[in-house]
Amino acid sequence: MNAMLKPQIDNAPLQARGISKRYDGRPVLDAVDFTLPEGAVLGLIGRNGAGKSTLIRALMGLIEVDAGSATVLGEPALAMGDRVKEQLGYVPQQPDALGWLRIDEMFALLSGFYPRWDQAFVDSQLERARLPRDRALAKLSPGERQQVALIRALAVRPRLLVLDEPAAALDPVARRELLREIALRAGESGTSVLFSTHIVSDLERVASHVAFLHEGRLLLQAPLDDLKERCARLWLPGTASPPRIAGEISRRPQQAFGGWSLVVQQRDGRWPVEAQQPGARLEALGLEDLFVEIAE
Amino acid sequence: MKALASLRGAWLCADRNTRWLGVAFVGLAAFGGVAVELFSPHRHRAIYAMPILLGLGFAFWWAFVGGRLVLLQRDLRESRFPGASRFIAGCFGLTLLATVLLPAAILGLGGLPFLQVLALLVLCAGVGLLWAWLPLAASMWIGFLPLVANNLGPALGWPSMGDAGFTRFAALWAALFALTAIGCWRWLLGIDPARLKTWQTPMVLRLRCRGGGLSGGWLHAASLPDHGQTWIAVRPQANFDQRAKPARMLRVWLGPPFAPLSRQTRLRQALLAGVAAVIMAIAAFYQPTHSLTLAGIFWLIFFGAVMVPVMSYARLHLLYAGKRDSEIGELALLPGLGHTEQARRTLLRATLGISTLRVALGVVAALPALLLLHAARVSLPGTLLLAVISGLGSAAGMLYVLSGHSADRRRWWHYLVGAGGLIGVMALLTPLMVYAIGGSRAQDALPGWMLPALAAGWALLVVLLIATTRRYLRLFRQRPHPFLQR
Repeated sequence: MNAMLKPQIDNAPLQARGISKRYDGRPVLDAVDFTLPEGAVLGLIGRNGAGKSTLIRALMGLIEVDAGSATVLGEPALAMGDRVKEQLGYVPQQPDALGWLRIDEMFALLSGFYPRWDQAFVDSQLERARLPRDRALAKLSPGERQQVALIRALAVRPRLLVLDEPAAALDPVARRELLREIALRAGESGTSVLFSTHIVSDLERVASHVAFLHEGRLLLQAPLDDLKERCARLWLPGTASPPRIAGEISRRPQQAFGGWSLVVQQRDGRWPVEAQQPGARLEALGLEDLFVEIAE
Repeated sequence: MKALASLRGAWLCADRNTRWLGVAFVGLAAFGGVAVELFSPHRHRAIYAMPILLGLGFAFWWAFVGGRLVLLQRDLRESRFPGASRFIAGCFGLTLLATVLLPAAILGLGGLPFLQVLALLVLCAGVGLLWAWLPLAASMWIGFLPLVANNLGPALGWPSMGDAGFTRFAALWAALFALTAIGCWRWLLGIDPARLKTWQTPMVLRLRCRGGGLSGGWLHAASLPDHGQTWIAVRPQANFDQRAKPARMLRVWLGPPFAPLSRQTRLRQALLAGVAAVIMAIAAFYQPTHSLTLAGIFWLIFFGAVMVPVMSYARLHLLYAGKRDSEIGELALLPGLGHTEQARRTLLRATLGISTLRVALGVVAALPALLLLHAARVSLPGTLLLAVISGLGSAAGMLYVLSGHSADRRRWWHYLVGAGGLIGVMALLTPLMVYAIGGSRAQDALPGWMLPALAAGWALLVVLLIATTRRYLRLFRQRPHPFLQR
């Protein structure tokens, strides 16, 4: 189900260089470099408060950053023109807009702004989700509101789709449909997708690329398959903290084992030499284990 | 220990900003009472200024802080908290002790009639509670109570404080208010707020907010965020060319009070205005001096002049700096608003343009009444001045938000400046109202320096507002685009 199109880095629809942002003096993003390759489905993963939403908002030009810059479909994020906006589908974490309008009014109002608006898709999705057209948006449950926002973002037939925790309020059926739709869009239309989540199974099901954000820093960004092949857990014996090794991503002491566990990645196709030490051993990591190891 | 817990409950039932605002209000009232007593030439009446002003202060406390105890009780009941009713009763008891019994006892020891003061303070607590607890359709009229009491009281033979029958009179009204409050309390404990229509929702539920305070509470509630309002105007059609009318589209997005109103709503508003006009006409017919009618018109003008800036500011603040700033994010990514400068101009038209238009319409609506009552000589300049202040205040407040400043929590002291400005407007307005309503009698009673001083105060306020508006307009223009989140 993972997106099959080969990503093109040169013409990246979403790019950021050295983005830093502080709130009330507290760093939230720290010199983040980020690239969403053309045609990729990139899952942005991180713990609560890691800075995922802030990064997405900075990439979309919704906030002014303290340092760095971002581009969306080749234009500066803070000065996007209508040409770019027409090709962009965006769903915030809590879609609150136009709460006093009914569902059908909202769609009718917005359809005039998008030249490629797909009304047939809207109709079929509302039918499938059994969403009453005459209900005010404010009266919908959070999950229903999120579904409406997703339909809206997809009805644009976007070239770039950005979703901030899109599955957080959805039930399992709606979540699975969303993931299928994302994969379909990426596979058939070449839509580039960025979505943030902390549900690792969603990521494994649909993402072609993964980026790990931890305490405002982007620790890893790579194709999903590469990540699984190139990252592993390295167990090192001994109570003393081992010196920093090449390709190390994170470390923590393991008292039960009487040593240290490190997450390491291959450099030039090779594991660190420390893996050859007596008592050391390498262990393959699933995506969830990798996330937990890095985030803890 | 239980008393301490109840005391804590009574104090913590509102957010921090509102609590301290309440304390400041009561403190200000006490200070005012002392000042009047020290400086008033009519000493025999001035001794009653302290309990009256304190009563106003405590009414504010009950409206904004004490009234929220019912919300605390709802929450405790829903959480299946043991002994919730006893705990809340303790909180109420202690608040009554602190705001009624204790001040009455202290003032009684100071030589004032204890029972009269006690009855007055109970009455004030009741007024505050009813403002918070009654459905909006009823509570909105409570603001008229002082005017009604002042103007109708003498005609109906109501006793003033210090008169022999005052205790009985105040106790009767206090009992009526208390009974109504008890009924409201029981109603509030049982209702589902989500099912209430706007006009049914009491202020205490409208002001409910976890973030709290000036920035997160009652200003936000004024902006009617989203109750699935059906009275909002635009019924968009699929074939409607929204790109041709970006300002209208933006107004829909910004919501009330900027959203265009439906024909049905306009009719409803016209009907309400008509009823108010008929009431005032009847009052003018029966009262040769027109003072009651003029007081009502002034109250409406003043209410409108304050509400336009407050509601405009509140709604924009909610959009730009509240937790729901994703609305602005979605707007930022909406095509069809043109390049940055076009979008900026459209936003100014949809916000500043609309509020200015409303202020102008308000003046036009007030003009015939003032002319008919032969009050235009003093009232018209006053109304125009108030309209200028209201328009400039709206512009300054909205540009303050649009330039991104209201999102910065480190600028909390800006609220103090804003509140000071509002108090300044009220201080400058009161003598003007007395001057206009009281006719030649009041004009003779005012000292000679009053008018020049007032003119200077108004001029200073206008200059300050123009400078503030220009400053924030410049800062707004410097932003990379007009829909930046915090």
